[in-house]
Amino acid sequence: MKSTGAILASVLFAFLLALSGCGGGEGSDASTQSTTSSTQGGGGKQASSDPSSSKAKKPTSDPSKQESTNSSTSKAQKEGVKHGSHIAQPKGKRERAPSPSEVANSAVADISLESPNFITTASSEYELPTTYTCDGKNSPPTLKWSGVPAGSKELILFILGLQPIEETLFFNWAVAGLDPSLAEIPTGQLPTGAILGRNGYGKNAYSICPAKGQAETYVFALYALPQVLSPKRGFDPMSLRKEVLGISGDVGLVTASFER
Amino acid sequence: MNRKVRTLVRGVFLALALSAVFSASASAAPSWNFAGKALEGKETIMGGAFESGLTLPGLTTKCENFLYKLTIENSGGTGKGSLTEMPLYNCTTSSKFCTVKTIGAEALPYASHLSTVSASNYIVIEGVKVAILYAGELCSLGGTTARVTGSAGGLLDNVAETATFNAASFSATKTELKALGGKAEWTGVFPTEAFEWHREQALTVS
Repeated sequence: MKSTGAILASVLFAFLLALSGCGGGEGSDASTQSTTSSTQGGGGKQASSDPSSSKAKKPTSDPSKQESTNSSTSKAQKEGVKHGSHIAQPKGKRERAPSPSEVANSAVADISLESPNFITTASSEYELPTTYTCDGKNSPPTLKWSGVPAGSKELILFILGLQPIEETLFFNWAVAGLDPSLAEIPTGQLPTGAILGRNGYGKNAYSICPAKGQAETYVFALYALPQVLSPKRGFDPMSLRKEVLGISGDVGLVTASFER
Repeated sequence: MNRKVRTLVRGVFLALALSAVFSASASAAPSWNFAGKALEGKETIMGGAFESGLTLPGLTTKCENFLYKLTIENSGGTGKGSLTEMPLYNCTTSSKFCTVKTIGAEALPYASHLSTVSASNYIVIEGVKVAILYAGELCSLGGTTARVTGSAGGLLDNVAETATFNAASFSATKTELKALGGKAEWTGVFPTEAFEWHREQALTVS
């Protein structure tokens, strides 16, 4: 009996997922759909098919108000009948989880990359201090990392804008040829063997210098490669990045913003 | 007061203090209830949000719908659970250059438990691991699989039968999700209901 219940629940769950996953366009019109609960048949209680009506039953998102209702008891609650909103049938496309081969063929962010120079904002994001921009010394912040896979042959670091500029990725710093045994690049120091690529300003150097009044988010990406690429000094970072992504491997990612 | 009496009085105070400590810990361990009675055995519940957001540092990634399936039970007087499925629907990013190629929960199931903080009840989901593969020729994270890891605490509302995940619920439960080297935010209000033995019964936590 119990296993029958479990099987029924699994079938209902699968049915729900199948409806949304296969529905495509059909599933996108929530106003014409019945809710999950109404497809169960178990309770015989027809829930509203309109998400807006369910939304009307939604509690306030103000935690202080929720706390006050947490201990109160409605009539339905006293009777032991479900009184809250039912789960709405999911709208649209069910996203597919990355397959093992997709993960293996992508750069996986398993390296921990950080900078002691970043400032943590109230919203727990990172800010780049002015000293590491063209309004300061314009030298890169100290970067530290851990979790480089054993057997890595080369590390390559890119600092680039989160948003492209004029339909192209804008690189602020591109450094190849880093020894995989390294665990940091101290500010203003270039490790032995490092090869600099051409940044978005056309120089083989580091520079972060957005337009005045403009806020930018920068992606710091350290790739650990299973093979050596060793490009020539002044390499094109866009081409090298393509090559790096083609090889896959692990990556350390961290973002920091700067408003000039 | 002779020594025996003093020892007896101390013993009574100690016993009272210990009992207060244990009763306090007992009240800090809520359990799952259906129709006002403590759940016996196991039950399958689901939570589903109309709109939920997963904000990674620098790149907002939103999913229109978000479900979770949880097998729950009361173990040792505390409500526990095992999150076995967590499908996401219609996920997009805040950047026109970046698309979500694939996104999904890894390393399921995730353990969960109930907790009381300042008279409010929470569900804490541990060991969350969500992989997001971004795509886009001009996406700075294109071709990269980012991972959201950590634990998530959601406020449970007995009247609305919902779990609400937001910055306040994470802070109250001292939970945190991390991604791209920083803190990731997960927000959403999840109506929650039973799908096995207690369908259409009031689900509360106390």
